[in-house]
Amino acid sequence: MPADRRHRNPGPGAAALLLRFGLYAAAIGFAVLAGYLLYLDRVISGTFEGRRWSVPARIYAQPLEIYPGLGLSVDEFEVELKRLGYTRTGSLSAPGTFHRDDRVLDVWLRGFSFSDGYRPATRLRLRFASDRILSLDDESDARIPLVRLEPPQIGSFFASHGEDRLIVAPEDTPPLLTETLKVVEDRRFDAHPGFDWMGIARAFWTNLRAGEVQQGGSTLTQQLVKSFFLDNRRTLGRKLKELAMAIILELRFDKTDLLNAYINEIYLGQDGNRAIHGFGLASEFYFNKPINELGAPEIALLVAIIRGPSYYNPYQHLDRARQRRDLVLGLMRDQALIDQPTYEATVSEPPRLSRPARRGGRYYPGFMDLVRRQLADSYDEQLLGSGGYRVFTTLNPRIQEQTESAIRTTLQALEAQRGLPPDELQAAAVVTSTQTGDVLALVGGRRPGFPGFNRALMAKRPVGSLMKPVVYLNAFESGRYHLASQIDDTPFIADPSRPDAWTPHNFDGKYHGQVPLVRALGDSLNVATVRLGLELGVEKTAQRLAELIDRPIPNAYPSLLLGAIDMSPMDMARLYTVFASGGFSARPTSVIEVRDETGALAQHYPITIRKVADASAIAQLNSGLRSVMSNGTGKTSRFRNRGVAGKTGTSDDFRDSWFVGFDNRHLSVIWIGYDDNRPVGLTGAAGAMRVWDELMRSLNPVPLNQSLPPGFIERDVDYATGAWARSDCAATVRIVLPNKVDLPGKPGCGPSLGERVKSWFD
Amino acid sequence: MVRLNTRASLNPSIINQRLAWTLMAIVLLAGCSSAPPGSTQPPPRTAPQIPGLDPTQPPGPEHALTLALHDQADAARLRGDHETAIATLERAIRIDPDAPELWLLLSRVNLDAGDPAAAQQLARKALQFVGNRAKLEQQAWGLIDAAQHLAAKHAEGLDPKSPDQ
Repeated sequence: MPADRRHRNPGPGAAALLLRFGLYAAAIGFAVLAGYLLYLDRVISGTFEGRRWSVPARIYAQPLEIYPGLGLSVDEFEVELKRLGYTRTGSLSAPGTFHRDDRVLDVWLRGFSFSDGYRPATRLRLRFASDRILSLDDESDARIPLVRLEPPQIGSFFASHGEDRLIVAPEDTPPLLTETLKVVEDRRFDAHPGFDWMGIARAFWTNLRAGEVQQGGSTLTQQLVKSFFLDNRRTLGRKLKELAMAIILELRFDKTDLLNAYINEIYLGQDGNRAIHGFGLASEFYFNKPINELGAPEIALLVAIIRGPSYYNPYQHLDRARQRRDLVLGLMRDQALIDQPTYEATVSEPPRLSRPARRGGRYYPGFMDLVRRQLADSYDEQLLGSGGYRVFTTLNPRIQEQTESAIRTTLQALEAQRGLPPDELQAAAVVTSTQTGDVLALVGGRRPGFPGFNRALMAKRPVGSLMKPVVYLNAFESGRYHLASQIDDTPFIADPSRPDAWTPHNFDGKYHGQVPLVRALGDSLNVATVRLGLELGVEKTAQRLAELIDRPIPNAYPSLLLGAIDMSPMDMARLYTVFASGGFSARPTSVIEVRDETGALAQHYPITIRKVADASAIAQLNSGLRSVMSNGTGKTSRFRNRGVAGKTGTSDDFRDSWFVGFDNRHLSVIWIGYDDNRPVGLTGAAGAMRVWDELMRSLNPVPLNQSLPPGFIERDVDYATGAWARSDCAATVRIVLPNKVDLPGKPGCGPSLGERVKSWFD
Repeated sequence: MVRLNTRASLNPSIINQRLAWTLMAIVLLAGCSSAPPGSTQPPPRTAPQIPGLDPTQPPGPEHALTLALHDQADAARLRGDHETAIATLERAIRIDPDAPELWLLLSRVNLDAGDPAAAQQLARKALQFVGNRAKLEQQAWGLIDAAQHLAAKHAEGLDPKSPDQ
């Protein structure tokens, strides 16, 4: 009977009961604690063992290839070195330094792992003429034919939470950095089991004396735990958890591992929405150099920042950061990490910051957008943000900057000269390499450093006369026309049977009677072109366009012949690449290859070309596009006689000003307009072509190098009539023609008998 | 392997020009011309010469060094290292896109790697730049032929019923 028993057996006394309860509780508590510790251990080991930091994909531009004869001045070369964070020194002291004596430049290149092999750190001597490289020599004065600089990093794809970092291995970490870390943050790091009573006591004492928090009592291990596993809340429970985790980490891993993890993990600054983690990235972010090139003053500054990356942000609070850096330098001297003279020399100097010009994807957002799109087929955002990939792209930073600058100066000049409201004109540009389709530069808007609407890819605008070359290509491909064939530029109604029948007009409001194709294309005559296009068939133009840009074209109305179709600058780059490359289509590409975190090739995007147009038709078309520049709507270009090809485009009511130009190497598409589609009042030549002119001043055009197809010749003809003319007559143009063509001579200025005789043998 | 010619080979159009001048001199001597005495040959062309269309144009400074890369890539190809060969050739093409030797070798590597479609397009690209170098032109056609052969064999393998594919 339980009641009885209760009575008879009152059991142990209250004290004993309490004891027993305590024992049970302790046992349960111990079990819970043990379970909890085991759980923590699992969490920590699982996460920490794999050491899976979220490492964003790093995006690189094309490396600069240097060789004797390259058109690069010593000043331009110095700019390239500085882009890569090289420092000018009195004498070469280490990789990442250079020394210049007028036109002789010594540089110690850093090692870099390229796709086709590792290029070790190399010392070079370069000699320059005023505008080009004369010679390259190595240390032993042997001539070097060709060498690559490291590719500049142009950004990274970090995940949405914004952690960016650059992993460094223990052997890349300067010993001075690790020693300084210990001196400042955790003196007994090598000895303590994860926490440090003495450290806490010392910090307490120091802070008490100073009246402010100068030192924290947390060990490096605790800081690591806090950053790696915990959030920022400061509660007792969290503190205990941190302590437990620190001890477990110390039991599980050795000190070198922990220190290396700390160096890669710790938060050291903020760059917009990008969080700078680890010393590897911080070294680039604050000094634009790799971590192994850091000296004492730089190490001192980085260690100073740990305590409060925003409070001690040297970009914003230089004095504050300097004070704390000097304190660190003092500790370094006290602990004999640096000697007194070094201390004195560094303390007297303010921190020398060198912000990398363009990092984190903030500065080439237009191009990075293209890279992201190309990678989206194979990699999701999450993987790119954390997988530690290296992405090698086609961007040419020099051309990118020259394009941005050409847009900036030209738009300002246009607005000033034409009394347009300031800062409202918009522009976009794509520059590609003619034979490979590489996108070398991409500008999505007037303020290229600001992400936003990427007009180069997304703005679909009526292309106007940029469409005409497709009509002429059709004509040449038909075999029924050549550049001196005559077409009728007189009034007519296009396609009167259709409801959309309309009367095309020329830009100058006049009709020009019989004109040769070269002039119809060169002067961009609408009436003659529509007539030609209708004769060949609108459907045919639409079909050909679709083939050339590899995309269906929905509606084929006669107005398509005059470019009444909305397309982006990138679409136009794709179309004109076919012409510039001699009849091959090449998908505009921005990524060359992707390497995984081990350096192995993850994906290669080969140069992919496809022959889509006949060489002789293309040769005639390009001859016509050269005539556009020498005699037609492009003749106001300063490069009209440099063997370059181009086409202007102007949409209805001057809403869009287009220009496409190409030389032997570079194809550029430029668009100018307003976002709200109101008229800009600029023709293609008066607007977009000026941007191109400005750009080509720095690119220095190389004439088109396309050989004559068999059965074709070059002949001078009168631009207005297409009659055979002597080259010294006024207004002639040299065009590519089938050799069987018999042309009438220009009255009064026809070819000499000699030329006629010669022509029998062509 | 692809042997590298210089670009300074003889140019038929120059030969034609010489021939034409000679013939014209004969015509002039025959007195069929009204050219005033003392005037020699017609004045040289004054219209801007388009240097690009002159196949005698000297190769750029890039040429010599891309040929070095060419040989390096060929060595990789012979080792069976297609990945490195392609990377090296693409590097060279990015420096000197007008060199037919580079496109030819890239075509060959693609053929070795079993991609006849790419090989054929790349050989066609080489043809664009061979000018009058018959040997390179021959090699290009040889590659196109081999690529078509391989493509046909692939098609057979996939679908033995349509050997004519």
